Amino acid sequence: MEKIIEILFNGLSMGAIYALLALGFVLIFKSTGVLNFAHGELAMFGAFICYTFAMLFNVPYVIAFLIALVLGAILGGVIDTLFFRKMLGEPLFTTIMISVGLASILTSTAGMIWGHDVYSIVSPFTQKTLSVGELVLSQGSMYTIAASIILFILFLIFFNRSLLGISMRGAAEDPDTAGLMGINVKKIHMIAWALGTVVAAVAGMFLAEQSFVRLAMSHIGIKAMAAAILGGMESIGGAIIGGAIIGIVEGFAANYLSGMELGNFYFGDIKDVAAFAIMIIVLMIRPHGIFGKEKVERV
Amino acid sequence: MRMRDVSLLVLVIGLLCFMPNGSWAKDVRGVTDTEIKIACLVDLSGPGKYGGPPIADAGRDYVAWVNDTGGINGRKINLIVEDNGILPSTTMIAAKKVIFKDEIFAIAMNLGSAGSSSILPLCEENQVVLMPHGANKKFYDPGNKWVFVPHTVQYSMASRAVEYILEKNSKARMGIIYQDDGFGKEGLEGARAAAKFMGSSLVKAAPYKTGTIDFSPHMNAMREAKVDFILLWTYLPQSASIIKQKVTMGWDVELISNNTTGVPPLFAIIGESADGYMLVTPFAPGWMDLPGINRIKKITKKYGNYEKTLGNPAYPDYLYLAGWAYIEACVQGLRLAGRDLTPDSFVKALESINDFDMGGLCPNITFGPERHVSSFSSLILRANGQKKRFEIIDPIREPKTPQK
Amino acid sequence: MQQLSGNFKVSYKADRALFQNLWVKSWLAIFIVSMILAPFFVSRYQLSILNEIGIVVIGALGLNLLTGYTGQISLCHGAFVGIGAYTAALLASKLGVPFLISLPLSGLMAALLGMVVGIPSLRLKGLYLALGTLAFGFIVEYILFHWDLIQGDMGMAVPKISFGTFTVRTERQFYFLIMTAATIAVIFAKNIARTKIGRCFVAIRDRDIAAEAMGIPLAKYKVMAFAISAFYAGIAGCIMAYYQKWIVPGSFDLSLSIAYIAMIIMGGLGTILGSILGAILITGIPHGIVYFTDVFKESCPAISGLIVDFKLGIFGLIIVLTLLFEPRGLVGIYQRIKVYWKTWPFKY
Repeated sequence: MEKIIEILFNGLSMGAIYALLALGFVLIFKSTGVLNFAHGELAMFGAFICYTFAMLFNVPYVIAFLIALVLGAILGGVIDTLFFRKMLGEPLFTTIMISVGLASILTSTAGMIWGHDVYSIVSPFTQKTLSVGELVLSQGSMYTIAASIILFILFLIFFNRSLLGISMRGAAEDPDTAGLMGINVKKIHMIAWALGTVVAAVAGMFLAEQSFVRLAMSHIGIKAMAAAILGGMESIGGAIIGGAIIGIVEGFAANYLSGMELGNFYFGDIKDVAAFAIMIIVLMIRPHGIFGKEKVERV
Repeated sequence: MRMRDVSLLVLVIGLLCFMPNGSWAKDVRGVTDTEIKIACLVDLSGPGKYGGPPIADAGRDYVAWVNDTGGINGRKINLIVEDNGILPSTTMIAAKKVIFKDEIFAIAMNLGSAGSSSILPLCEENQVVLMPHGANKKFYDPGNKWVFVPHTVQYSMASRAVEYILEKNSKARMGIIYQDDGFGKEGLEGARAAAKFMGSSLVKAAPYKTGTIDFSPHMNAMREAKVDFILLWTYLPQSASIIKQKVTMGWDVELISNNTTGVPPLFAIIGESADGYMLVTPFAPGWMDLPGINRIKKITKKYGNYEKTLGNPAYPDYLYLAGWAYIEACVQGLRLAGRDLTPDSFVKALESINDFDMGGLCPNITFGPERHVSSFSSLILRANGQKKRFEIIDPIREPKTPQK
Repeated sequence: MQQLSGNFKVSYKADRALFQNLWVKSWLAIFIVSMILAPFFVSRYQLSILNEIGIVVIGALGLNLLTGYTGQISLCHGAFVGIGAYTAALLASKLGVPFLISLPLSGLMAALLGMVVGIPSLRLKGLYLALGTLAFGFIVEYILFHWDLIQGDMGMAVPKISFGTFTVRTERQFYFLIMTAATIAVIFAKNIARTKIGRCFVAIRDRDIAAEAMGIPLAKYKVMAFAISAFYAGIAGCIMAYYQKWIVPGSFDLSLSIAYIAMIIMGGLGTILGSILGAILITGIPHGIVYFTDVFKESCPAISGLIVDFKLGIFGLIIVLTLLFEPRGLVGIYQRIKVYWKTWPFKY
């Protein structure tokens, strides 16, 4: 029984990270209509910035965290201005390809600045654990889950109640009409990107706390997309729940299915494939996810 | 364009394929009266970036020393270091460039076993001797005329590690966490063979996808199987992560890993938690006082940048020493081939190297017509967290498990 | 597309012709002659680059037919190339099938799987299709990695091509083989583009619901587009396998798909010439980087380390810059230049 709780807990902590990333992803999508393939790379950048300040400049962790958030927001705004502003009216394919290209650029820039090594961030709750009965839970994971829940509630309120949130949703649905209504669509897009990058940076730093800071971190971006698809690309709540589900399913799959052999085919490490399998199943059965609405297309 | 024209065109082109192929060069490629060109393909930019520069340094220092002390049979060595990005596709590009454009004679070192496999047909076709790093058993078994491995392979090292543990404690329960690719699987095979030979077996085997750093499921599985020793066939980030996980879990299991993780940067990443971590590797640690290592240090001080390389405690000295062994084996072969240097004479010369003394740095090098791997031996090291270095706890020995 | 005046046709046959006017035909003839003579004048290194380009052109043509002409986003083209390569490798090494048979078979195998991906494409549009193809690519990579039959990531060997007693061994012989295949592929692609099938593809790209309303069966043509594009990819993969003589699953991952997409974007979506130009450029760039770092290596070693890191990002940068500044790619630039020259000093 303890084992299941432990798997659940670990799965939730990874799931929280996925959910955060999916949240940022859906945020950008809802506000600008852009599928951000470079989201994992943004998270990586956030983690690297935090690493630079915390470890290389010896700034206390909390301040490095905040600096990373601020710089992340600036980065998001810059990306929007440089790359996506021109693409306001362009077809979907173009924007997708730009974000794919952006992902490569970010990775190689990070490689040039920080190198391909593996780095560690020392945070106040590195290596500390909490023992509950027979379970050993890592403090870092607990903070991740707690912080994520707080952020989710904040965002839900933001999107449904605040003026800025509602104008973002409006701009996403129909930029032209929103512009006619007096909403500054360009500013909204920039804010959306900044917010999305901030959330990604948070996710990146949490991930760094659980493992290490290195270039390959960006691969997690693809799982974030799977989580967003599962939950529904239009729904913030869906992204959160999607992330949690993928984290938990991955945990269970890794524990019970790994190392299986099926005939000539050796299953190896199932963890990564679990996310993709879920994504494919969702795309087959219900492309708009659990909470999404089906889009009506007109001729 | 009508069908008739198209078919005529195809016919003409087809006939041209049968044109006789002129010979490209009468002289031996890469060898002139005054110099021999050899190449070193290492990863200077990609995922294996931390591996490339030390090997390149070793190559350069050694070649500088050789050239300064008379060269080889009157010829100087021209070493070309090329970035191969470790992936097969980029390795192929690098190999094509050095063989076709730079026209080198031999490839003294190629980092990355997948890349080595992919350029093997190219080397075979062009009669280029290849010395792959990332040693895998299949490079010598069945092996190839043009491939030489001056390194102990993963299979042998895994066997040695398992034998060491089981010798000390025949009832030890061993598990293995291995990378889910050729490198890791070879470790698995070597470990399984050795365990079977010693009358035991591996209790649990947990693969992980290359690049993973979350090992909680794997470590949980190991703990559930009540494992005493875990064999880690991984790279550095994974080993560091596993040690971290072990501390988080509060579990006192012993870890023994392979050579690629036995470098000082390990201490930089996880500090003192690395204490007690064991390794199997063919190369002695760089700080030790052995004749082979002292000789290298003397040469590096004179020709290279000692403070930056071997003199730097944070330097991955294992890679420097490995690069050194490769280039030394290669140059020894060049020496023995004499003045009349051709690809075939080089191969024969390499095969004649017998028990070449490495001064305790690593097992002595022996090749033979049926044996293109230099040795099966390795030693066992243990990490000392306080002093931030590795210490020898079991000297160079061959595993008892049959290696063929 | 700006059509210049003066390009009038006097019969339907002339309008439908594969190569429209005498100017194109004469330049084409010069091009073909120089292609045939090339192997006798260029070095072996450059010949190997030309061979690579030839193989990649075939793959790029396929992707352009799917994405440029039919408007379906596909992020798994690399996977189809891999399927073709591994089919060829398995047929040749395990079953001893000769090259002339394994070539179409690997194309067919890839086409079959292309249809499998094509069927969901009827339901999935735009971003969902992109993600679906992405997932498919990852799953194919996973299977190739873990299937013991093909030895996983250590790769597998591919025997040489032989026609009876003649084996293709040198770069020059490969050159003629590859160029023949590439030429046939180009001619077929151009033909598809100008017939009913091509027009249906373009209609689907522009407005698929309207196309269906006009009577074009979406299912048939969308699946056909995927199948044809995968067939081309499979052929390219097969030839690549025989050329490299050793294949590893690692070379058929997402980065290969992105490279192909970079090719058609850079070259020009929806044009045959664009595929060729894009292929030449994208294949040439890594080699160009290697060449430049060679020149700079001695003078400033620090910079060469950085430039080399750029290899990873250069494709991304190309895609982004092309899309931002010239969405129609090289073909667009070429057409702009052509129009400028022809109409100078007038504006249009």
